Amino acid sequence: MKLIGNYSNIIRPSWAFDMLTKEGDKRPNQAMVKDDDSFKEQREAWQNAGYELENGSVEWHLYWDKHITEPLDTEQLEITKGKRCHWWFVKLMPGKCFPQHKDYFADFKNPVRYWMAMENYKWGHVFLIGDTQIKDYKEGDLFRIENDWHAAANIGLVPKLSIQLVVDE
Amino acid sequence: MMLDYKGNISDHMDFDQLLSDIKKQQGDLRLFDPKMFDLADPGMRMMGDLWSRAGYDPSSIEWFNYYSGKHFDAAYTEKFSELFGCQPLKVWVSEIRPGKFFPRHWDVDTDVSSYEGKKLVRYHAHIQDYRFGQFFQVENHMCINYQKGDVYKWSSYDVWHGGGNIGMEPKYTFNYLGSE
Repeated sequence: MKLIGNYSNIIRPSWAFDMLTKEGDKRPNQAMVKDDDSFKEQREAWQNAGYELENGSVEWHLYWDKHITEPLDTEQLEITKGKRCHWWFVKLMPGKCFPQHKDYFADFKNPVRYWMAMENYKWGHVFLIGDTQIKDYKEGDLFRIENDWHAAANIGLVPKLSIQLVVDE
Repeated sequence: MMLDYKGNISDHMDFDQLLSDIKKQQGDLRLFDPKMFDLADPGMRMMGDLWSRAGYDPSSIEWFNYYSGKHFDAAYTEKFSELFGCQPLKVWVSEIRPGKFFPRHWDVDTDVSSYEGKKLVRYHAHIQDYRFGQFFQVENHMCINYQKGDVYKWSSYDVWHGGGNIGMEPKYTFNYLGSE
Protein backbone atom coordinates (compact mmCIF):
# COMPACT_ATOMS: atom_id res chain seq x y z
CA MET A 1 0.00 0.00 0.00
CA LYS A 2 1.46 3.34 -1.01
CA LEU A 3 0.25 6.92 -0.65
CA ILE A 4 0.35 8.51 -4.10
CA GLY A 5 -0.74 12.02 -3.19
CA ASN A 6 -3.67 14.16 -2.19
CA TYR A 7 -6.38 15.08 -4.67
CA SER A 8 -8.94 16.78 -2.44
CA ASN A 9 -9.35 19.39 -5.18
CA ILE A 10 -11.29 16.94 -7.35
CA ILE A 11 -13.76 15.88 -4.64
CA ARG A 12 -17.24 17.30 -5.07
CA PRO A 13 -19.51 17.97 -2.06
CA SER A 14 -22.37 16.52 -4.13
CA TRP A 15 -20.76 13.05 -3.98
CA ALA A 16 -21.32 12.64 -0.27
CA PHE A 17 -24.78 14.18 -0.62
CA ASP A 18 -25.73 11.73 -3.38
CA MET A 19 -24.37 8.78 -1.40
CA LEU A 20 -26.07 9.73 1.83
CA THR A 21 -29.42 10.41 0.21
CA LYS A 22 -29.56 7.53 -2.30
CA GLU A 23 -29.50 3.78 -1.83
CA GLY A 24 -27.08 3.06 -4.69
CA ASP A 25 -26.66 -0.57 -5.75
CA LYS A 26 -26.78 -2.73 -2.66
CA ARG A 27 -24.34 -5.62 -2.43
CA PRO A 28 -24.32 -8.53 -2.17
CA ASN A 29 -27.30 -8.65 -4.51
CA GLN A 30 -29.65 -11.61 -4.86
CA ALA A 31 -27.58 -13.21 -7.63
CA MET A 32 -24.43 -13.05 -5.50
CA VAL A 33 -26.26 -14.54 -2.55
CA LYS A 34 -28.05 -17.28 -4.52
CA ASP A 35 -26.73 -18.41 -7.85
CA ASP A 36 -23.99 -16.24 -9.38
CA ASP A 37 -21.42 -18.90 -10.31
CA SER A 38 -18.62 -16.35 -10.59
CA PHE A 39 -19.19 -15.54 -6.93
CA LYS A 40 -19.68 -19.14 -5.75
CA GLU A 41 -16.24 -19.66 -4.23
CA GLN A 42 -16.35 -16.40 -2.28
CA ARG A 43 -19.96 -16.94 -1.22
CA GLU A 44 -19.21 -20.39 0.14
CA ALA A 45 -16.06 -19.26 1.93
CA TRP A 46 -17.96 -16.50 3.71
CA GLN A 47 -20.90 -18.74 4.53
CA ASN A 48 -18.59 -21.45 5.88
CA ALA A 49 -16.99 -18.85 8.14
CA GLY A 50 -20.45 -18.00 9.49
CA TYR A 51 -21.24 -14.78 7.64
CA GLU A 52 -24.90 -14.05 7.01
CA LEU A 53 -25.18 -12.73 3.46
CA GLU A 54 -28.82 -11.72 3.73
CA ASN A 55 -30.01 -9.41 6.48
CA GLY A 56 -26.66 -9.66 8.23
CA SER A 57 -23.65 -7.40 8.53
CA VAL A 58 -22.33 -8.11 5.02
CA GLU A 59 -23.59 -5.13 3.07
CA TRP A 60 -22.11 -2.33 1.04
CA HIS A 61 -23.57 0.16 -1.42
CA LEU A 62 -22.03 0.95 -4.80
CA TYR A 63 -22.43 4.20 -6.73
CA TRP A 64 -21.65 4.77 -10.40
CA ASP A 65 -22.31 7.46 -13.00
CA LYS A 66 -26.04 6.76 -12.85
CA HIS A 67 -26.25 7.63 -9.13
CA ILE A 68 -23.87 10.57 -9.05
CA THR A 69 -24.82 14.08 -10.13
CA GLU A 70 -21.23 15.07 -10.99
CA PRO A 71 -19.41 11.90 -12.06
CA LEU A 72 -15.69 11.54 -11.39
CA ASP A 73 -13.60 12.95 -14.24
CA THR A 74 -10.71 10.49 -14.47
CA GLU A 75 -8.77 12.91 -16.70
CA GLN A 76 -8.16 14.97 -13.55
CA LEU A 77 -6.01 12.21 -12.05
CA GLU A 78 -2.52 11.45 -13.32
CA ILE A 79 -2.91 7.74 -12.58
CA THR A 80 -5.95 7.41 -14.82
CA LYS A 81 -5.30 10.06 -17.44
CA GLY A 82 -5.49 8.48 -20.87
CA LYS A 83 -5.83 4.99 -19.43
CA ARG A 84 -8.65 2.54 -19.33
CA CYS A 85 -10.16 2.56 -15.87
CA HIS A 86 -13.26 1.89 -13.84
CA TRP A 87 -14.34 3.88 -10.82
CA TRP A 88 -17.03 3.42 -8.24
CA PHE A 89 -17.87 4.85 -4.85
CA VAL A 90 -18.63 2.69 -1.81
CA LYS A 91 -20.75 3.42 1.25
CA LEU A 92 -20.42 1.26 4.33
CA MET A 93 -22.94 1.99 7.05
CA PRO A 94 -22.16 1.52 10.78
CA GLY A 95 -22.31 -2.17 11.66
CA LYS A 96 -21.71 -3.30 8.09
CA CYS A 97 -18.70 -4.89 6.43
CA PHE A 98 -17.12 -6.16 3.27
CA PRO A 99 -15.39 -9.32 4.53
CA GLN A 100 -12.00 -10.75 3.60
CA HIS A 101 -11.66 -11.09 -0.17
CA LYS A 102 -9.48 -10.49 -3.21
CA ASP A 103 -10.55 -8.61 -6.32
CA TYR A 104 -10.82 -10.10 -9.78
CA PHE A 105 -10.98 -7.97 -12.89
CA ALA A 106 -11.22 -10.44 -15.74
CA ASP A 107 -11.59 -7.71 -18.39
CA PHE A 108 -8.36 -5.93 -17.43
CA LYS A 109 -4.94 -7.04 -18.71
CA ASN A 110 -2.92 -5.54 -15.90
CA PRO A 111 -5.33 -4.25 -13.26
CA VAL A 112 -3.95 -1.94 -10.57
CA ARG A 113 -6.17 -0.93 -7.67
CA TYR A 114 -6.35 2.50 -6.09
CA TRP A 115 -8.35 3.75 -3.12
CA MET A 116 -9.15 7.36 -2.35
CA ALA A 117 -10.59 8.88 0.82
CA MET A 118 -13.75 10.86 0.16
CA GLU A 119 -13.63 12.26 3.70
CA ASN A 120 -11.15 12.61 6.55
CA TYR A 121 -10.65 9.43 8.61
CA LYS A 122 -13.25 8.86 11.29
CA TRP A 123 -12.95 6.56 14.28
CA GLY A 124 -14.10 2.99 13.59
CA HIS A 125 -13.68 3.18 9.82
CA VAL A 126 -11.60 0.10 9.13
CA PHE A 127 -9.79 -0.83 5.93
CA LEU A 128 -7.31 -3.71 6.15
CA ILE A 129 -5.04 -4.80 3.30
CA GLY A 130 -2.69 -7.75 3.85
CA ASP A 131 -0.76 -6.88 6.98
CA THR A 132 -1.38 -3.15 6.61
CA GLN A 133 -4.26 -0.75 7.10
CA ILE A 134 -5.33 2.63 5.77
CA LYS A 135 -6.14 4.90 8.69
CA ASP A 136 -5.78 8.55 9.76
CA TYR A 137 -6.14 9.63 6.16
CA LYS A 138 -7.24 12.99 4.85
CA GLU A 139 -9.93 13.72 2.30
CA GLY A 140 -8.45 13.19 -1.14
CA ASP A 141 -5.56 10.92 -0.08
CA LEU A 142 -4.99 8.45 -2.90
CA PHE A 143 -3.39 5.06 -2.22
CA ARG A 144 -2.21 2.35 -4.55
CA ILE A 145 -3.15 -1.00 -3.00
CA GLU A 146 -1.83 -4.45 -3.73
CA ASN A 147 -4.29 -7.15 -4.61
CA ASP A 148 -3.75 -8.92 -1.33
CA TRP A 149 -6.51 -9.99 1.05
CA HIS A 150 -8.47 -6.92 1.99
CA ALA A 151 -11.62 -6.11 3.91
CA ALA A 152 -13.49 -3.16 5.33
CA ALA A 153 -15.80 -2.52 8.25
CA ASN A 154 -17.50 0.30 10.06
CA ILE A 155 -17.70 0.14 13.85
CA GLY A 156 -17.99 3.89 14.11
CA LEU A 157 -20.98 6.17 14.25
CA VAL A 158 -21.19 7.66 10.76
CA PRO A 159 -21.19 6.15 7.23
CA LYS A 160 -17.83 5.38 5.62
CA LEU A 161 -17.50 6.77 2.07
CA SER A 162 -14.68 5.91 -0.32
CA ILE A 163 -13.63 6.10 -3.94
CA GLN A 164 -12.40 2.97 -5.70
CA LEU A 165 -10.46 2.81 -8.93
CA VAL A 166 -9.02 0.09 -11.09
CA VAL A 167 -6.64 1.10 -13.87
CA ASP A 168 -5.31 -0.99 -16.71
CA GLU A 169 -1.58 -0.36 -16.58
CA MET B 1 -0.27 8.26 26.86
CA MET B 2 -2.58 6.10 24.86
CA LEU B 3 -2.19 2.38 24.50
CA ASP B 4 1.02 1.22 26.19
CA TYR B 5 2.68 -1.96 24.91
CA LYS B 6 3.88 -3.92 27.95
CA GLY B 7 5.67 -6.79 26.22
CA ASN B 8 4.97 -10.37 25.35
CA ILE B 9 4.13 -12.87 28.06
CA SER B 10 3.65 -16.01 26.00
CA ASP B 11 6.62 -17.57 27.82
CA HIS B 12 4.79 -17.08 31.12
CA MET B 13 1.22 -18.01 30.23
CA ASP B 14 0.02 -20.95 28.20
CA PHE B 15 -2.43 -19.17 25.92
CA ASP B 16 -2.78 -22.22 23.68
CA GLN B 17 -4.16 -24.15 26.63
CA LEU B 18 -6.40 -21.25 27.63
CA LEU B 19 -7.80 -21.06 24.12
CA SER B 20 -8.29 -24.81 24.02
CA ASP B 21 -10.16 -24.69 27.35
CA ILE B 22 -12.41 -21.91 26.10
CA LYS B 23 -13.21 -23.52 22.79
CA LYS B 24 -14.70 -26.53 24.60
CA GLN B 25 -17.58 -24.45 25.91
CA GLN B 26 -19.89 -21.60 25.02
CA GLY B 27 -19.39 -18.28 26.73
CA ASP B 28 -22.04 -15.86 27.90
CA LEU B 29 -23.72 -14.43 24.84
CA ARG B 30 -23.91 -10.64 24.64
CA LEU B 31 -26.31 -8.96 22.23
CA PHE B 32 -27.66 -5.47 21.70
CA ASP B 33 -30.94 -6.65 23.12
CA PRO B 34 -33.11 -4.97 25.76
CA LYS B 35 -33.01 -8.20 27.79
CA MET B 36 -29.21 -7.94 28.09
CA PHE B 37 -28.87 -4.17 27.97
CA ASP B 38 -29.91 -2.49 31.19
CA LEU B 39 -31.27 0.73 29.71
CA ALA B 40 -32.04 2.02 33.20
CA ASP B 41 -28.29 2.48 33.62
CA PRO B 42 -27.30 5.91 32.20
CA GLY B 43 -24.07 4.60 30.65
CA MET B 44 -25.77 1.67 28.95
CA ARG B 45 -28.56 3.95 27.75
CA MET B 46 -26.04 6.39 26.27
CA MET B 47 -24.29 3.58 24.42
CA GLY B 48 -27.57 2.18 23.16
CA ASP B 49 -28.65 5.62 21.98
CA LEU B 50 -25.37 6.15 20.13
CA TRP B 51 -25.62 2.84 18.29
CA SER B 52 -29.30 3.24 17.51
CA ARG B 53 -28.83 6.75 16.16
CA ALA B 54 -25.91 5.55 14.01
CA GLY B 55 -28.25 3.00 12.45
CA TYR B 56 -26.74 -0.24 13.74
CA ASP B 57 -28.73 -3.34 12.96
CA PRO B 58 -28.78 -5.12 16.35
CA SER B 59 -27.95 -8.42 14.64
CA SER B 60 -24.45 -7.16 13.76
CA ILE B 61 -23.63 -6.58 17.44
CA GLU B 62 -22.64 -9.77 19.19
CA TRP B 63 -19.86 -11.15 21.33
CA PHE B 64 -19.29 -13.88 23.91
CA ASN B 65 -17.62 -13.43 27.27
CA TYR B 66 -15.75 -16.20 29.10
CA TYR B 67 -15.11 -15.34 32.73
CA SER B 68 -12.17 -16.23 34.92
CA GLY B 69 -13.16 -18.84 37.48
CA LYS B 70 -16.34 -19.68 35.60
CA HIS B 71 -15.25 -20.60 32.09
CA PHE B 72 -11.49 -20.87 32.58
CA ASP B 73 -9.09 -21.57 35.41
CA ALA B 74 -8.46 -18.55 37.66
CA ALA B 75 -4.79 -19.57 37.70
CA TYR B 76 -4.40 -17.62 34.42
CA THR B 77 -5.69 -14.50 36.16
CA GLU B 78 -3.43 -15.06 39.17
CA LYS B 79 -0.41 -15.39 36.90
CA PHE B 80 -1.29 -12.24 34.96
CA SER B 81 -1.83 -10.35 38.24
CA GLU B 82 1.56 -11.49 39.50
CA LEU B 83 3.29 -10.45 36.27
CA PHE B 84 1.83 -6.94 36.31
CA GLY B 85 1.56 -6.37 40.05
CA CYS B 86 -2.15 -5.81 40.33
CA GLN B 87 -5.30 -7.23 41.87
CA PRO B 88 -8.04 -8.55 39.60
CA LEU B 89 -11.54 -7.11 39.63
CA LYS B 90 -12.98 -8.51 36.40
CA VAL B 91 -11.17 -10.78 34.00
CA TRP B 92 -12.68 -12.26 30.88
CA VAL B 93 -11.91 -13.49 27.40
CA SER B 94 -14.09 -12.06 24.65
CA GLU B 95 -14.92 -13.87 21.46
CA ILE B 96 -16.15 -12.18 18.28
CA ARG B 97 -17.29 -14.38 15.40
CA PRO B 98 -16.78 -13.44 11.74
CA GLY B 99 -19.22 -10.75 10.67
CA LYS B 100 -19.90 -9.55 14.20
CA PHE B 101 -18.89 -6.34 15.93
CA PHE B 102 -18.63 -4.66 19.26
CA PRO B 103 -19.05 -1.03 18.10
CA ARG B 104 -17.40 2.03 19.53
CA HIS B 105 -18.04 2.05 23.29
CA TRP B 106 -16.47 2.37 26.68
CA ASP B 107 -16.85 -0.34 29.31
CA VAL B 108 -19.98 0.53 31.20
CA ASP B 109 -19.48 -1.28 34.51
CA THR B 110 -22.51 -1.41 36.78
CA ASP B 111 -20.22 -2.43 39.66
CA VAL B 112 -18.16 0.76 39.39
CA SER B 113 -19.32 2.07 42.79
CA SER B 114 -17.65 -0.91 44.49
CA TYR B 115 -14.28 0.17 43.02
CA GLU B 116 -14.28 3.48 44.89
CA GLY B 117 -10.87 4.35 46.28
CA LYS B 118 -9.07 1.87 44.02
CA LYS B 119 -6.59 2.85 41.32
CA LEU B 120 -8.06 1.02 38.35
CA VAL B 121 -5.96 -0.52 35.60
CA ARG B 122 -7.09 -2.04 32.33
CA TYR B 123 -5.06 -4.40 30.16
CA HIS B 124 -5.75 -6.58 27.20
CA ALA B 125 -3.68 -9.44 25.84
CA HIS B 126 -3.83 -11.19 22.49
CA ILE B 127 -4.12 -14.90 23.09
CA GLN B 128 -3.55 -15.91 19.50
CA ASP B 129 -1.43 -14.56 16.67
CA TYR B 130 -3.14 -12.01 14.45
CA ARG B 131 -5.27 -13.46 11.75
CA PHE B 132 -6.36 -11.24 8.90
CA GLY B 133 -9.53 -9.30 9.68
CA GLN B 134 -9.46 -9.60 13.47
CA PHE B 135 -9.12 -6.02 14.63
CA PHE B 136 -9.35 -4.23 17.94
CA GLN B 137 -9.24 -0.45 18.26
CA VAL B 138 -8.47 1.26 21.57
CA GLU B 139 -8.65 5.04 21.38
CA ASN B 140 -6.82 5.80 18.13
CA HIS B 141 -4.63 2.69 18.18
CA MET B 142 -5.70 -0.10 15.86
CA CYS B 143 -4.35 -3.48 16.95
CA ILE B 144 -3.45 -5.70 14.00
CA ASN B 145 -0.36 -7.82 13.27
CA TYR B 146 -0.08 -8.71 16.96
CA GLN B 147 1.59 -11.79 18.36
CA LYS B 148 0.16 -14.27 20.82
CA GLY B 149 1.06 -12.99 24.29
CA ASP B 150 1.28 -9.28 23.42
CA VAL B 151 -0.03 -7.19 26.33
CA TYR B 152 -1.27 -3.60 26.25
CA LYS B 153 -2.10 -1.32 29.16
CA TRP B 154 -4.83 1.23 28.58
CA SER B 155 -4.59 4.88 29.60
CA SER B 156 -7.84 4.43 31.53
CA TYR B 157 -10.37 1.63 31.90
CA ASP B 158 -13.12 3.75 30.38
CA VAL B 159 -11.57 4.87 27.08
CA TRP B 160 -13.37 4.48 23.77
CA HIS B 161 -12.70 1.16 22.08
CA GLY B 162 -14.31 -1.38 19.81
CA GLY B 163 -13.56 -4.49 17.83
CA GLY B 164 -14.76 -6.67 15.07
CA ASN B 165 -14.07 -9.58 12.85
CA ILE B 166 -14.00 -9.40 9.06
CA GLY B 167 -11.79 -12.45 8.76
CA MET B 168 -12.61 -16.12 8.59
CA GLU B 169 -12.13 -17.42 12.14
CA PRO B 170 -13.32 -16.36 15.61
CA LYS B 171 -11.27 -13.71 17.40
CA TYR B 172 -10.36 -14.05 21.09
CA THR B 173 -8.99 -11.38 23.43
CA PHE B 174 -8.02 -11.57 27.11
CA ASN B 175 -9.34 -8.60 29.09
CA TYR B 176 -8.22 -7.57 32.55
CA LEU B 177 -9.71 -4.92 34.85
CA GLY B 178 -7.86 -4.65 38.12
CA SER B 179 -6.39 -2.30 40.66
CA GLU B 180 -2.86 -1.30 41.58
